[in-house]
Amino acid sequence: MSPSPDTVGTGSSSITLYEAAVPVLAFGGAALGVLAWTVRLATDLRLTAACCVAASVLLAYLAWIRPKKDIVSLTTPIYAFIFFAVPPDDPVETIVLELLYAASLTALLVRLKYRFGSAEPPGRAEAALPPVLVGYVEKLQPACACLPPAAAHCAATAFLRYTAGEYGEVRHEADEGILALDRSGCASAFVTAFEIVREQAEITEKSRPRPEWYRHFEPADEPLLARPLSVTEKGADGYDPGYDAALDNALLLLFAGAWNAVPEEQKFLRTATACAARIISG
Amino acid sequence: MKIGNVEVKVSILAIAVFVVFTLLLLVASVYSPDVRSQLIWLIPGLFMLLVIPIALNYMSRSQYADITPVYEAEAKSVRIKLINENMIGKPVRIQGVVEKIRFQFLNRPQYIIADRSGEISVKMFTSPDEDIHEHDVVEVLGMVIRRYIAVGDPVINCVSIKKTENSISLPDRK
Repeated sequence: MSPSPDTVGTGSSSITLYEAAVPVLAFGGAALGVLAWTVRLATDLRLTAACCVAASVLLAYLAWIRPKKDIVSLTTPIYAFIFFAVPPDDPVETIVLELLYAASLTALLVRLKYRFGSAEPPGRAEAALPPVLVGYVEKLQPACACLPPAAAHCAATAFLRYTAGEYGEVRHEADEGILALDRSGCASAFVTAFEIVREQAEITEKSRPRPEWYRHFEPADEPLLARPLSVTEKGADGYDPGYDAALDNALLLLFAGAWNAVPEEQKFLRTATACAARIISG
Repeated sequence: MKIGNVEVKVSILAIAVFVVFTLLLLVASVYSPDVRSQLIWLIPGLFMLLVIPIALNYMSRSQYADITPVYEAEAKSVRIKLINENMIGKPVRIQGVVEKIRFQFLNRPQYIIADRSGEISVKMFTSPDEDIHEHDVVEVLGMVIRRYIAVGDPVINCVSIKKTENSISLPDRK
């Protein structure tokens, strides 16, 4: 299901190529303009300015494929069109404008790389499991072999419903999942995960305060959990970290269980891998 | 300034525009008889620079006041970490600390709110009921939207932001 390392490598190298092409195209166009002007070559400077426009389009593409969008980089083609559609009559002014524009695009590219994260080749974000989840999901593969397809489907649906904020719908999926797990021989942690998600979804749906006592995993379940068990008592500020940790572990266990047990569920779970990655990186 | 039950706030930008154009008009009317003859419509036009932002602020504040009870009833308390793209369009309630405030001078404040699990941008398209400062602990009611309408990461379109008495100790996420 995951893309091959070759595909991933090709995607990353093409991104690097595009990134390098932005200053090369922009400054290259300006350099061509300087060359044409110094040898008194009668040429339309809009041709050299076209390189700046192409560099802007490339920068906008690089901004578009990042998970976090940079609206400044995204709008550079518009500015390129405004500046260069009708360039100044004086060739020196046009060349200075091209040089300044190329410098601005380079600065924006650096800003994009450092402030807006790494780019992902199209299709890769949907195709692959985020690296932060891979270790946990693979670790759980043996434990998930016993999960009946019906339980795995309920696990996927319960996870998706909870993360989509459809708390009222979670109870049904959790109840079905617990029923499907009956006599499956799977670890009891899966049942506990359904119970935790069901309970917390109900509390959230009815806007109830956090209870003093709530469902949580037992120490015996710890090998199957993504994060270590927290203390289940309130601290000095009244905050009980165990409540949130129980939900995080339960959601991740349901996610990993569904992902490993039935490959068909993966296409649904892919819509929420970013959320699962946020939960596990906690 | 209060109109009915609505506390109307004019942005500093709107006041600055009004002041600049008032000065320009004063200077122009001193030196140009042509401008003086047009004062009958220039002065009302000048005041429109204040009246229009006030009217817009009043309308948006009263609309927000009307829908706040709906959000209070329907919004679910969530941790910031759990807010994701699949929750677009869902009303949510978060509680956290104000880490940064931007664009307050435009009456379109954008808050960075953090709780123990993470941080998120909270955008408000009008001025809040009460003055919010950095490090205040607040409760936010709003809807999950995308940062740039159709694209971008999930942010909260804030309907109500209020200070709360509760304290939150944040973990160091740096």
